Amino acid sequence: MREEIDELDFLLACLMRDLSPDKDPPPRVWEAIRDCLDTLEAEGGEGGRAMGYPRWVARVGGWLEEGYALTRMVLIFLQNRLEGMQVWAQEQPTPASVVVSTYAAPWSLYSCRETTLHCWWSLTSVLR
Amino acid sequence: MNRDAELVSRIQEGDSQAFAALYDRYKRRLFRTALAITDDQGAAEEVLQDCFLKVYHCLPRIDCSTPLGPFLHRIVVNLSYNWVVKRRSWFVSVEEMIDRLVAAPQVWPEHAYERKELHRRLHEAINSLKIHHRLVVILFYLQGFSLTEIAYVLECPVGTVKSRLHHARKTLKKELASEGAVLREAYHLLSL
Repeated sequence: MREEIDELDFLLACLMRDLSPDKDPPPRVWEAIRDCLDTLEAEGGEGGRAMGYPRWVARVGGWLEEGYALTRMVLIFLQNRLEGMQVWAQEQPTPASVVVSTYAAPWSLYSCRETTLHCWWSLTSVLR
Repeated sequence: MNRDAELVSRIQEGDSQAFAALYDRYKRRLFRTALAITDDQGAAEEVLQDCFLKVYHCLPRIDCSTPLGPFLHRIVVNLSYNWVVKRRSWFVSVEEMIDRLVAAPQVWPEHAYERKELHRRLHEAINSLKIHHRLVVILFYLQGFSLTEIAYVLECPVGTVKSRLHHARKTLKKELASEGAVLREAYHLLSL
């Protein structure tokens, strides 16, 4: 029994190597990836960094992405409380992107996947 | 710090060269897995491309303390599986696969016919496997992953992997047994 299993193992290992040859993918694959990344970085714009942002920003970004509806409600509430002078919330027409922003943003924004958070800290200071 | 962790750390700091290095490090293995699952060159290229774009997007959340190989394979296997399910091309490609193997030039002349026949029979047997069983066979025999690593890649318990591998081997053995002494014959041929 053990011998048969070893034979089967050996056969399968040989066969799988035949089935899928060990070779490099064509260079066009990396070129396509590079093009996509260049496009993403270009879309990141002046205020965004497509990569290299701190991990905690991504974590906060992910959390906000999930809790977008709640965040938006808070911003609309603030908009009313502050008579629309300093804070406004806007949903962008792009289907895949959700942008929440404020007029009061004094510093550049972080791009966190589909969500861009503008000046969360300004809002908290306004609340105080 | 291991090589993977170093690369991920550099990428997270914005070093695009490190991302290229990560691609170079894993492209061959991942491409091979994608090719084995999809059996389609174009699809495998597409899967590899999508895999690295996904990696790019989730880099900030990658845990540097664990090896990247299984993590990357999880993405590739999922993408390849989706492609197979979507295209329903799993069984359609059997003939192509057999033709490719039959045309393989690296056979010894005196055993050419037997080896071709062997390939045909074994490929029929492997193609008769359910896709989940086949995935386990590919990861175990082609990539040499451990059962634990396969469980991580396929996002299922180790027991499930063991069970799938057991059933896959049982099916293969049954298929081959129905062909008479092909198993022993094959072992002899491949050992030459």
